[in-house]
Amino acid sequence: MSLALATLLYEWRRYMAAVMALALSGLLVLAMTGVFIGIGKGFTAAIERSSADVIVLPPGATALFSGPMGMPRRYIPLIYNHPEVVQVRPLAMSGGMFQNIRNIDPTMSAADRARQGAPRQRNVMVNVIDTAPGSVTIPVDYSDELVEALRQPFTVAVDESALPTLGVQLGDRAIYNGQTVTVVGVIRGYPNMMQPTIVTSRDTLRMMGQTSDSSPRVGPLMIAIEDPARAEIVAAQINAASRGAYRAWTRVELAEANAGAMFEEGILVIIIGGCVVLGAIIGVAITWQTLRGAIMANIKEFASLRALGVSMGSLRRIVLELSFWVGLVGVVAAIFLTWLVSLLASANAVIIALPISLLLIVGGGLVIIAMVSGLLSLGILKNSQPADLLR
Amino acid sequence: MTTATHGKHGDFAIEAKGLVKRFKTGRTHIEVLKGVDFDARHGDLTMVMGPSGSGKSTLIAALSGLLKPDAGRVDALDVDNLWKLSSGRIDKFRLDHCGFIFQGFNLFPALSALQQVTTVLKYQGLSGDNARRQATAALEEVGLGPRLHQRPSALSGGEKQRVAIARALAKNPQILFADEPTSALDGENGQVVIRLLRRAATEHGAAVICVTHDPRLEAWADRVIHIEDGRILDDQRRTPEANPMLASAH
Repeated sequence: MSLALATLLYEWRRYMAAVMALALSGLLVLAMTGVFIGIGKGFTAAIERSSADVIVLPPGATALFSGPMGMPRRYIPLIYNHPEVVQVRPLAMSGGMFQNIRNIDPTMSAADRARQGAPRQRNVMVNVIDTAPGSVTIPVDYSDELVEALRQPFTVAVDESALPTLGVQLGDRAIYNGQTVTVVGVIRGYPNMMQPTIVTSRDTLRMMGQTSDSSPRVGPLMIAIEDPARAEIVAAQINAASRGAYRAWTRVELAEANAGAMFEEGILVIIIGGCVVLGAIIGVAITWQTLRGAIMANIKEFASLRALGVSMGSLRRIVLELSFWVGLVGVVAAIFLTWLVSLLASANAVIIALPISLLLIVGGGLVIIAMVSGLLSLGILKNSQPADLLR
Repeated sequence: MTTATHGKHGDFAIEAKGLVKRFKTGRTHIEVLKGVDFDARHGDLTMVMGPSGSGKSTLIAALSGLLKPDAGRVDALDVDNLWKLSSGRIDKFRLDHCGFIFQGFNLFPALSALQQVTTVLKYQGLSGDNARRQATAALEEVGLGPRLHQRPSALSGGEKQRVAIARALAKNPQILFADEPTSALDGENGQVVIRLLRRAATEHGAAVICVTHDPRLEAWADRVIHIEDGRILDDQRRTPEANPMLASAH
């Protein structure tokens, strides 16, 4: 084991401040970025977990919610021209006013009634599925029972995180856009911290008279193909045949674009950029001072190495190696802390998404912060004058 | 540890002429070394004695390439005028040829006795296995065979100094500098340490230059140089007592 690593492990208390500074800097950036990606995921989860292998968007779209969404309905048969396409369904999204219904007990006192409060009214986003078996719009984690239940007229499903917001429970009746619906399912894993989301079937929506089936334009097209493993090839072939009229994305490609699209929002870039700058400054300042102190504490030992002929360059390498290990421990601590925070967040229906690429970027940044702190601390080695050891 | 010897007993290992060193204090200069001539031979335990402030520590700093003198030259082993070399070459010279023992032991708290020694050996370019073997031998020679894996916090003062000596001796140095090596130790441990220095001179042929004001150590020396006010007062060659343990056990 190297001197740097042994020192870090043995005197870990001395380096704790630096590790914590790095961990908290990392947490700041990871959690903020993760929350924003998570907000985005709240809107796109139904598409990203759908059984569609390929999604077709209008040519100008850079992600699901960036750029135009509608296309002429006549594109549907064009997509079917590809021999491997088995199903094309337009993605329908809707929205409206959702209100819970409270059972009024006539024997209830006025005070009890007042305590119940007014009925809750919320604007909700509606994800629409086709309930035909094997439909491409059904997310992969929906159970057959849930789809079966949604197949009944005037039924909706609600994510468990939206239940308190909407004031409903499984089996309750509620009013959606003026018509009575029944909550027949509770889904898990689709929290949306900006707007509660409900799921219903295209048939229910049609019976309510709220679909736009007669419209010449449709939303993004969700496509199932024979062999999902060939999604990339098929998407490329659809694109080749499109003459620029539309663009096919694989599901993975679209999910990445959706996450990335969050960061084209100016305000998000400012918030996250601010966190990065603050985190870096605080991380460098504390890590630098901690390293300085720790090196100073061992300065006589370093000086004795100098006396024995170990060059200044070698001592610098020891310090830089030490900084590297401090950075690495900081990365582990940052990821662990962020994971804890994300557990806490998900218990409260807030998604903190931590894609590997984000962890790698922030982890690399933390190691760089530690190394910069190490470089700044090198000056202190000038104090390792072996002549001072002679008294 | 190999018992390789260096040079021939009696050959000059280090020779210095006209060393002058001044320190600036405020507006005046204090001359700590006033034209000191010095030499030390292989196989000798050369004792430099003098009161504090006499310049003895400055002398070995100048001899060992740690502190550049204002005037004078140092010829060490086959190097003519050590101070003409670049600082990197001086470091390399020390790495290859010099051992150092200080009053404070200056051991890294995180490293075991074995690691203290191997760390230095690895900088000399030894492979991990060779370094471990050589370090183990050095620690066994100073009687720490059973304590190889103890950290400094688990060692007594005498044991720590023995680790420091092993660290200096494992390199098999031709010149060994010791600065007050016994003054932080009790009498018994001091005896152990000086005996090890004596052995480094006699068996390994190193030129051992030991700065001390501990009169008990005089009995072990081949040569005693008294220094005061930056000048050498006298330079006596003597025969180490056959059993200095008794002579100094008072």
